[in-house]
Amino acid sequence: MAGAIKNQIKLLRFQNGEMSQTELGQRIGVTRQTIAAIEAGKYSPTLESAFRIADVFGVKLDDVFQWVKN
Amino acid sequence: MTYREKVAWLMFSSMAVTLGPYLIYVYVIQNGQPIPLPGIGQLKLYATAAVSWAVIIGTGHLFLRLKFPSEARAPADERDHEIERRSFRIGYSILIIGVIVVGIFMPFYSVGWSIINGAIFMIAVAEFVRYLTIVHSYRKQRP
Repeated sequence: MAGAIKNQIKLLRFQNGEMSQTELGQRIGVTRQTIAAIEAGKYSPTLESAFRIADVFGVKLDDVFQWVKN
Repeated sequence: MTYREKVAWLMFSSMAVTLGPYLIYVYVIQNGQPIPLPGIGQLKLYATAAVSWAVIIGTGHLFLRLKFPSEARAPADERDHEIERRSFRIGYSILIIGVIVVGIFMPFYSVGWSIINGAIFMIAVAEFVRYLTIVHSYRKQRP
C-alpha cells in the first residue's frame, strides 16, 4: 500500500514555545540533525522515539505522525 | 552535518587521496603486470600510501575532536545506528565478493603482488562504498 508518513513536529515545536530542534533532540535522546531529518520526512523514527516525541508535546501519537495514502 | 558524517567524509576523502593514487599507479601505470615477491620497491610504495593514510586519519580525527568536542563525545543515536548497519551490510557484501575473487580464484592464475594488490583493491572498494553509503545516507536518507 503506497503512502507516506507526514508529521506535525515543526508546528508542535512552534506551539510549544518555539522549542528548538536541539532541545527536542536532547529531550528524546537524538541529535538535532536527526530531528531535522524526521521533520523533513527523510527519516522515520523508531516507535519508541515517536512516542517520546508525542510525550514531550503532551499529545497523542497520531497528532504528531499521520499515514497519508498516495 | 553530524559528527559521524564528518568522520565518514574524512575516511572517504583520505582514502581517495592515498590509496587511490597507489591503485591508479598499480593498475594504470604498471598495467597490473605481475611483480614477484618480495618486491621491496612495491612494498615501499604501498607503505608510503598506507602510512600517509594513517597520518591523515590520525590528524583528521584529532582536528575534529578538538574542533567539535561535545559532538565527538555524544553517543550515536538510532539514526546513526541505522546508517551504520546499512553501510556495513553493503561494505561487507562487497568484501565477501572480494575475498572469494582474491582468495579463491586469483591464486590459480596470478602470483605475488598481483594477489596482494587485488586484496588491497577489494578492501579499498568495500571501504570506499561503505563510507560513500554513510555520506549518502546522511544527505539523502528516506524512510
